[in-house]
Amino acid sequence: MNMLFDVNSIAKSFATPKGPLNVLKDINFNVASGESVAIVGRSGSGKSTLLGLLCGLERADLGSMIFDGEDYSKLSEDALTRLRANKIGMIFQQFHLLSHLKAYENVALPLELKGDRNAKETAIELLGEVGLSARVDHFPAQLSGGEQQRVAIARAMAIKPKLILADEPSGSLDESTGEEIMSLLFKMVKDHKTSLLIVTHSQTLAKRCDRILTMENGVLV
Amino acid sequence: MILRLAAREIKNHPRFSFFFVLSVLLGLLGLTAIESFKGVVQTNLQSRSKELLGADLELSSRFALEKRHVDIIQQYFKEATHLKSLDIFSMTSFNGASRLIQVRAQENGYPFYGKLLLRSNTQYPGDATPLADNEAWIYPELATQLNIKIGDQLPIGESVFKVVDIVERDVQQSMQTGAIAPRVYLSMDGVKKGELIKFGSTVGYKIGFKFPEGVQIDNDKDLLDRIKKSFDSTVRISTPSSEEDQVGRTLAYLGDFLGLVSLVALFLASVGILYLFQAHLRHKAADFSTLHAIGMERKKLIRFMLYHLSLLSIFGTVCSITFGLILIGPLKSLAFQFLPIEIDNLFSWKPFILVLLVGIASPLFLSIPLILKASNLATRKSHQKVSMIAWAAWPLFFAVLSFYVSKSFLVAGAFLGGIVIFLLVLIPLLRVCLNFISKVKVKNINLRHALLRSSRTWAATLSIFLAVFYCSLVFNLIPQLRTNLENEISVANPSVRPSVFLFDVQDDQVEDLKTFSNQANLPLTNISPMVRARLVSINDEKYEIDTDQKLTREEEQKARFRNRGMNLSYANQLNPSEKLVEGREFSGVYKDESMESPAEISIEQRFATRLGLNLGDILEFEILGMPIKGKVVNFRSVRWTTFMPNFFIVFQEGVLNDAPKTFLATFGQLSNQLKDKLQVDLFKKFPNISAVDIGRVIERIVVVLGTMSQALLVMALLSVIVGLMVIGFIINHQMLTREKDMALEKMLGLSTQSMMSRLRFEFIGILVIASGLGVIGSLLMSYLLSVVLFDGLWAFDPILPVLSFVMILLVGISIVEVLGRKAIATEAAVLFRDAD
Repeated sequence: MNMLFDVNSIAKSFATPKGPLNVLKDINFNVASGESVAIVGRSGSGKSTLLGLLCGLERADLGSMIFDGEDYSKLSEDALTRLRANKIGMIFQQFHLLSHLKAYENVALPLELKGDRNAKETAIELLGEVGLSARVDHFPAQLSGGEQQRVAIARAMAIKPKLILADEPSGSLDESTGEEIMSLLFKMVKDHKTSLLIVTHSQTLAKRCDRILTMENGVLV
Repeated sequence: MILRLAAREIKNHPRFSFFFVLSVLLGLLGLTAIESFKGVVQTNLQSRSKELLGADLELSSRFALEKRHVDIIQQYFKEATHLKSLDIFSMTSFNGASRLIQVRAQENGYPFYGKLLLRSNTQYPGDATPLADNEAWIYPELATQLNIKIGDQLPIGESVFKVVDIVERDVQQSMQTGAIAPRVYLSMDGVKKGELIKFGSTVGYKIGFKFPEGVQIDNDKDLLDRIKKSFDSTVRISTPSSEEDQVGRTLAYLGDFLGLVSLVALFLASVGILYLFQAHLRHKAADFSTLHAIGMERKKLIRFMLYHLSLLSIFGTVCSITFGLILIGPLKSLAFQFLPIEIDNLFSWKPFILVLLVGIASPLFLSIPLILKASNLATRKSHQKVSMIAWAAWPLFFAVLSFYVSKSFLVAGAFLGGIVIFLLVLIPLLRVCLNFISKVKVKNINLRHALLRSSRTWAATLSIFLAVFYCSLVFNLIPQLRTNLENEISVANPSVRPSVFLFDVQDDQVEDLKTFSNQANLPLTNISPMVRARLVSINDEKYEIDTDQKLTREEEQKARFRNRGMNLSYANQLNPSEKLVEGREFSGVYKDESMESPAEISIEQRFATRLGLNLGDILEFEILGMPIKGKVVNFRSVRWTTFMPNFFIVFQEGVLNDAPKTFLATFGQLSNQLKDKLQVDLFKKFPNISAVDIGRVIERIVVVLGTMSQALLVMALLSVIVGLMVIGFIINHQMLTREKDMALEKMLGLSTQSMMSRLRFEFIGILVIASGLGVIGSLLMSYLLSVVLFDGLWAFDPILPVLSFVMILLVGISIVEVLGRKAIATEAAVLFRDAD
């Protein structure tokens, strides 16, 4: 199987007044192209820290992370930014749309950053794919939670990423809307042959993935 | 319990509490300083009002006061004693130079209150020997200017006086004429001996009265009213309290204007407070809902917010009062320019009560609608009408405060008008502009997003705009006005401006004066007759105003203006400093020998506006009891700063020619050497003619203006500091609210440089536009004011606008750079916080 992401023996600790706090210890896993992987674990298990490392916002203290043939540790901040901009899509629990931008502008933003001249058209098309053709001109505050997450999915898919990192994507939605949105997400990643890495508490959601990894006290078990 | 919760809230949000208190402190600082200073001055004046007047009551007139005038007062106060004094302008010459002086003579024992402190360390009245008819006491300014020493013989009028002492301190010194015409004290007999009083001499006759112990006329307004009505309008009645107002008037005006500038600081601080509190309430919205959910009623929730706000306001106000007291010291040096008395540290509670009231009420009125909105949100109730009404409270409060501070409907109206125009016209206009720019297609992605952000977060954009605009406007306007004034006074028409201005020229001296000037080959110009008169009626309606009731500044000015005597003149045509504005020229010389038909008169246009005159109106004057009627045939503008003899009312030739009169005249452009020689020669030949050195007058005006504008500038600077602080608050708050957005943008692949570019485009763009518009606005305002006040003579000093623009921009850029970099450095992991 063609591996997209190889995570080898990574560790991360933070300095505290009482000494270093080891948040992640010897983490090893990989994600294949087109594969969906769920990381489950309790609050405080280190999921957020892991996400920060995976999307290149933070650096690991030890170990290596190779994404699409590129070693994170050898990439500069700018190169990591470019990598994110071109290959990784993000979906958050709190949607995190830019409140001053309309739905289509939120979706178009990552495309504009890549210099896409047809960003607006592509964004509108994607919003159509997530069922929001009638809401393209709405501001986030005018959309329901489910609709906002649809916009976030469209935004994540806009750059045709190789990997989508989703952080509790249904965590702020009611059960049925969550179901609906997750079905949409899985359909989209399948249609676009995108890998998906979901961090979640929900076993139901995790079970929809190809693989489940469990995290406890900074270690994958 | 709620109070305890509110106190804990302050502790739990130290950052918000600090900035809130700082806003109140700085917003009130100017007002505190000015009001406390005004309080100290007022208390000083009140406590020394009798010394300032020198008597319990004083009659003064340009006409000689007689026994009948004394009798009127003694009808009311049988035991009142009285003494006479007089003031007159004259000339003296010493060591080859001559000077205009103000001679004051007073009967032995006057003033009843207050003393002259002499260099010999004696006091008058007191241990100083009264002046003999050939002795004089002089002001130190005159001693310095002419290098006079004690024992020197000083020629005044037709006699010579020995300088026997120098006045070190005089409570009744005249601040207006002190430097231009230093005072010389003579005895009453000395004035006679010097033959200083000639026909038409401008003499101020005074009679001071001393009442028995315990009689205070200021406490009996009805009696004062009856006394005033017993005299005609040529006699002015002064009491200690009216003298206190008179002496403190210039300072009061300055204080009022300083107060208004301090209100700009309060206004800007209010914008900051509004912004801060709104952000705090938004941040606390969930907590309020929780409090309500666990049983806190809406009323209690409102009380909790009010207590919280009030505690912070009280703390801020107390801090402001403490700091404000420190500023009184520097402000006291201001008083030396305008007050004859030294200011002691007398304490008055009144200003502190006012500041405390403003410090608590202003944030409260400002925040009530926000509190109502927050409580509505927390309790899911809608009280929209109440919230809407609550928004009206603060503007109303501010309007009342503006009037209280300026004591003038006109000034407060103009001040509020400026703010309202900004709010009602500029804000919608800016919103339209912002709406427009949001649709502008821009290729640069950073610029496009900066435009989108600023247009769609319009409340923040407008708040920053408002703060920067006002900072720039205030900071630039005051020095610009000063430049205008200085330019108007010092350089306007220098070619036509005379060097020496003469007055008290007797009718029979005119020909001799002409001969004198021809022989000396000096340019004697603008010989203008001057006739004293009273305006009795306009179109048969009585003209004078009753001054007994409580009057506003404008009403006081109007009454003073109407009730004083007037100087008339006559001429064939306009002089070079005059311009016909409306109507026609005089038809020629008045020919009606019966004097029944009204003569033609020309009125200065602003004087006409103040009197509400129209062409064709009939004005009746009284000249030494004789009625003279005139019909307005034209209005003319006068450039007063040319220092030529000019009059509000000019008759055509032929009516006043035989009336008792004196003449004014000028000597044109002269070198300093020639000017000094002329004054000495003139004094030798015509000792009664007073000559004013116009250069000296201008110097004095520029010094006074400089002091006033410096004080205003300090206050303006305070407003600018508050404004910049508000800009800092708003930008800081914007950065905080954008923390997650920035993290997200970083996540989406936006580089740090691009993020910084966006912030620069957005905030520095606003700063440049607002600051630029503020500068343009201030130039426009200073231009309009110069048109209104100085007939359009507008001086543009490019350094000022550039300086204020660059300064505000530099500070703004620094704020953006520091806060922007800090916000961008936010860990993007903040986006995952919800998950773990």
